[in-house]
Amino acid sequence: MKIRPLFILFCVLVLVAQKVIFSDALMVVANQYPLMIFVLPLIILALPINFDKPLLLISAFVIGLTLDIFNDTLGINTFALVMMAYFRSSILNLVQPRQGYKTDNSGYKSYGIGWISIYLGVCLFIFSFTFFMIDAFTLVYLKRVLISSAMSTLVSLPFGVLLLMIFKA
Amino acid sequence: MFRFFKIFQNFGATILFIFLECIAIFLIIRFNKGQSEIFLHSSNEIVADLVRQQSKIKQSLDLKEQNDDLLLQNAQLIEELVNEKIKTTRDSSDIEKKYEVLPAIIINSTIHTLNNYITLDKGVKDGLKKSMGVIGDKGIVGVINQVSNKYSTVISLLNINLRIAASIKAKEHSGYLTWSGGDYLHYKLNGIPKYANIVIGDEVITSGYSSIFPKGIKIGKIETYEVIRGGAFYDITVRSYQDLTQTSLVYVVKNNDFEEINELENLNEN
Repeated sequence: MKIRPLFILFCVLVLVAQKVIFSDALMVVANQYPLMIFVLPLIILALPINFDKPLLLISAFVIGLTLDIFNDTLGINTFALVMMAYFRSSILNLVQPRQGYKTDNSGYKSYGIGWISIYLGVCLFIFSFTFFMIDAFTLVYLKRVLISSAMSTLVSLPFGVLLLMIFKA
Repeated sequence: MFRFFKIFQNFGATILFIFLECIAIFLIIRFNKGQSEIFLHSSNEIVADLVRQQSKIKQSLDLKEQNDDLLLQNAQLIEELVNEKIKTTRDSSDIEKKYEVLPAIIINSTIHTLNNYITLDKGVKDGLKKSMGVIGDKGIVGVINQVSNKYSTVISLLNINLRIAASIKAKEHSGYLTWSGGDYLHYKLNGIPKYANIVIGDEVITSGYSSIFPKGIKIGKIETYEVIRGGAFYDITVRSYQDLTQTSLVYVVKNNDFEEINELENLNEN
């Protein structure tokens, strides 16, 4: 827990990045599929594997709400982020390496780039799908939402992989 | 209390998750225009649908009541019609209601014997008495025979012992209608003199001579007729409008002057 100040700085940096650089859709593919780069979920995803779940949910709520307040999209990021935080532990169970998770807190780097990509990919997809779904708020655009979230996940993935490779939890 | 903590320990994260998501949803709906409009629209639709379903259920629960109301209304209309006829024929506007009409439901009836009876769900406490006429929506049904407190039996028109005073509409000849068993739609009209000018299709109505039925209630149409050789009367077959096998609602006609007339007529006989 000695890295706490550093982690808060990291949170602030990601929030600012999401707000300033990636605040709007990067581009709208084929005039109907908005493409967004999500870096916000990386705050939650970069937390240690054995992080306390209720605490994780509350931090997801606070972080999402912070961005929402600045973005004037109250609740949307919060909802998606809490959703992703809730399912993070299940996904971690699902993609568990054969020898289990290490207990020495050595960070995500040690599991290899392939594992990180799967873990991030699934989590980011959940986040972006929820995000676009809440944005549309109806089931009518389900196909559009699915395509948008798949593409956004792909675009956001390199950032996450890069971050987890250089950043020690 | 311990159990409660145990549950919270096991599902705490999930409960927290649901709680936080509820807050988020609330915020989304409260502060985002697009989403709140969709939410309001769909919730309005759901509510409207619920209200519609509720009113449907309520309507079908009220059916019995509505049915009773309609029955009563029908009875009142028939009553007015019957009394109106008397008014116009006697040309006096200040006579009091001679006939009253009460609705009743057939709860039992026989059709297969030669002496058929019908049981009604109304009796003495509803003001029914012996010898009142019973009519259906299309024609006459019978005459009340026995009355108990809550129920009454009716001598059905399908009873060989019943005679109804009947006449042919627009022709002043009158006779009596009987049933001779068998077919429950065909009756015999007797007592029409041979010199009467009758046509197939003429309407047969009550004559009003018996004080049981008011004058002019439809019974049926003449289907065939023949002259009995050596006799003085026609032998007329009448096809009834009212199918007694398919009747469930009837109206009892109460003649307010019945007892007075009856007493007077009895004096004659003695």
